[in-house]
Amino acid sequence: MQILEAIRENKLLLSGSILILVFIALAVLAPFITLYDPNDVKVEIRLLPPGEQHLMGTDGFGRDIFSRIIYGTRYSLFLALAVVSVNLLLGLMIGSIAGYFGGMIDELIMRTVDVLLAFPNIILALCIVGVLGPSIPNLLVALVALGWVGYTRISRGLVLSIKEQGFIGAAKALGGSNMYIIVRHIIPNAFPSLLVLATLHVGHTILSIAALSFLGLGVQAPTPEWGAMLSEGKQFIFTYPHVMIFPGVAITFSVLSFNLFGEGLRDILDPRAREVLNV
Amino acid sequence: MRRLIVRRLISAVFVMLIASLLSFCLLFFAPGNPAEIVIRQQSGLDPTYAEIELFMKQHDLDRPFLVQCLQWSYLLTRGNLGVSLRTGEPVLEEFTARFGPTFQLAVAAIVLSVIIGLPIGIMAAAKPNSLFDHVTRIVALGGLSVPEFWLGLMLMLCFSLALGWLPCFGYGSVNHLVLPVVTLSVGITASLARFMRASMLEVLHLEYIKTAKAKGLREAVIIWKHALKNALTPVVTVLGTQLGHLLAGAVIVETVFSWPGIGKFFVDSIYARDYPVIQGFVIITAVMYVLVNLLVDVLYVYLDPRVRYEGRGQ
Repeated sequence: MQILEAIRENKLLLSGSILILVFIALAVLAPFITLYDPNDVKVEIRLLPPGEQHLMGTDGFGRDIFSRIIYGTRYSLFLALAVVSVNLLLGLMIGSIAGYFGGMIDELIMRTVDVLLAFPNIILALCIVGVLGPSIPNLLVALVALGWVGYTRISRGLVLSIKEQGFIGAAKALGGSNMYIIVRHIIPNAFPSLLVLATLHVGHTILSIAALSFLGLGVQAPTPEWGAMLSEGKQFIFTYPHVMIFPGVAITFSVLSFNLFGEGLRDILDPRAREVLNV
Repeated sequence: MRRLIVRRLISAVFVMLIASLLSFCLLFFAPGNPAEIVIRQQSGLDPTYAEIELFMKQHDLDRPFLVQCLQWSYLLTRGNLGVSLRTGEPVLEEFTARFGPTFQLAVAAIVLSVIIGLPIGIMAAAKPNSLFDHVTRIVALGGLSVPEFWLGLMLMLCFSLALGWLPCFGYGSVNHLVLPVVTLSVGITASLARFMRASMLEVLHLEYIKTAKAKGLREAVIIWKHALKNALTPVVTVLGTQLGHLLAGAVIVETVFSWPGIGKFFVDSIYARDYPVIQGFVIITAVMYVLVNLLVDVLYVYLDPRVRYEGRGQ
């Protein structure tokens, strides 16, 4: 109930969650919303402008753009959520180990993290996909390879403050093993603060995936992914711009919905931001 | 001050070490035998087994991993990044030749973002929760949500095709610079404005601002003179971290606008599987990161006297 109350009061959170729910609904209900198969090639109706039959027109292969965008929601949402969850879990685990044990382990992990933070995410992702070859699994590998470091750094900071608290001492006194304390006490306490970062990252990841696919280095062409659709439609930009406009709008709104949600969540969860805003 | 520099240098060496290790490992992860790929690229024919073996012997590719890694690092310290498979020229020269256009783009984008982003952030912080604050906040969030490559294409559609004001591709005149720079600036402007606002709000809470208010100073003087000095310092650090954003943006924007900088060269090299260039780009990114952050640190010390005095006290 508290969550619902918060959502109702914070307009950013409200609009963000509504948009996210809409996107999830579109992804789940895709077959019921669309009239055409997203991969149905019909050359005789190629490049139709938006109209009654085809809401957003058809692309260079005569496929219905509206259907492709709706089905594309599945790829963008699913891939981005998968990447962010893996990064979050990996970062939380490694960061907890660094913060909890301290000493040499901490030093080694954090120095590595510092260096990896120096690299722009998408540059290394480009390198990795460029070397391994473009495919969805390689795309995931590339986005996880650097994605975990941000979470590691923040979890470590959180863990450092959590482990000084009384209940950790109590768990130790009761004979809890290190592993038990990390998994049962440290991680659940650090998790909520990481959630803000994660929601903001979902938007960022959608953008990265779209950019890589646009360059032809992510999800490959016939798949109805938004970036890949833009990559395919590039040649028609000056002659049939409708092919290019709609997928971009879809990307922007999906990213915006997660950004709104994350921003609202931060207003609520981050006490310093709240204090500043109230005055 | 000296301690700061020493610490920076140590971390710079560390960054370079890991970067070179990373870029070396990239080749090892490559599917298939790199020798085979290289020969095929150079001759266009499928190599025989003997040819591959000869090539590997010639280029020390049959040595153990660690030996190769050390050899590579040794060459690296002499500025030798190898030879591009595509053009046959040294990788370092290929990059330096294309650095100018990218630098132009980056500097113009940073300047534009600072000119637009900072005042917006300051004005939003001056009147928190006002209409201006809310509108700019939403617009900034929108700016962070638009994919750069798509925005670039849409600007092209609007200003080149529909209005005919600006050229859509290529490099040369100031007119060519406008669209890529605007595209690149949108995201940076948005994050600068957001960060400036947060930093300003924090400073406006401090005691000395209350004192200034009690003294009866005008609000404009308090904000633009007293508060801004302190609020600007953290923003400078953020400018340093924006470099990554800038580089990533440059890669995409240069590709979209056919801008002849290092970003476009990098993407073209990825398509061509030009491994030495891909490796070189990792190293060059690291070097740029180290240099820019050194610059930011020096600027930080210059802007914030407290950092200097702290160093002296110890």
